[in-house]
Amino acid sequence: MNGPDLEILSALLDGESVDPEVLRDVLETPEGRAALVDFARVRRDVRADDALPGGAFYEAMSRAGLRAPAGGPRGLPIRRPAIAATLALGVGLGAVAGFLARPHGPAEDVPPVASRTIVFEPGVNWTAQDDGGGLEP
Amino acid sequence: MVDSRELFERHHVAVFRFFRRAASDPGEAEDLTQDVFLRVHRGTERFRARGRDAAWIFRIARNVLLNRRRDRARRPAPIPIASAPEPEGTPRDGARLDLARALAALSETDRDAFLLREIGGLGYDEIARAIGITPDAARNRIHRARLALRDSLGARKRSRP
Repeated sequence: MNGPDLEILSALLDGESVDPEVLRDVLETPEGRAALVDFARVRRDVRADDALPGGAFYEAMSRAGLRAPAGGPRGLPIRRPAIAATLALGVGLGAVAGFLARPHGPAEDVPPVASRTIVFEPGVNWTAQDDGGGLEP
Repeated sequence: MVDSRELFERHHVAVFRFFRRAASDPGEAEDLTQDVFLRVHRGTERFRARGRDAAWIFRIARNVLLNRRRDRARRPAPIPIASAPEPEGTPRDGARLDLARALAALSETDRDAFLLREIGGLGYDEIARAIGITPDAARNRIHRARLALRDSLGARKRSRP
């Protein structure tokens, strides 16, 4: 198999648009199929790396300002519940204070006691009218 | 305006792994990665809002790598990895070493083009701009690297007891 034939497999793996007819011809040969499998294996091997930089790297990046230091914004999830708890406590205390400040006791349930009595006498301080009556002191 | 912290969070792991494969000493990967993002953060490198930020970041990474290679060239040559004594280890270590040797056997430009594609995820045009070659040359180099790695890794697997 010549070079350009395998090159189409490489281009396919790289996400390039390829001629499907040429691709079919290549994949109909055992060499073409073997090459595709080998290329996929090479890719897997090259990408098989789960290494991450070490702690010293991240500390240096934090010092440079490229990353929040430990306890900075990364600590926010820890701080948020504290803020929420403080707010809840404040609302709760406000509600309790409001409840305690309200007037309580039986006075609310009995009618007010009369402080004076007003007596209306017909002809003296009360007259009937033609328009349906009314008070005219 | 590009936020350098966001760029760091998004790309630093891929850049780190690119250097682990591309640098002659994988132990330099952290140092080189720091260099890339410090350049970005300090504004040494100006972002041009054409294209993807990944392509820009990896172009800087490739420049940092070239600088390191030039520095190394001025110092006494280290022992090439291919002639280093065979360390004992797990089969996985052996496979890793095989890959490192196979990559080290490639020309630097072929290796960089291939790794910018496979680890950086860059397209031919982006690789061409990063390396200073044409897109066709980028495609050819990547294919050549793939064939060489296939032969090299296949041969090593066959020779392994």
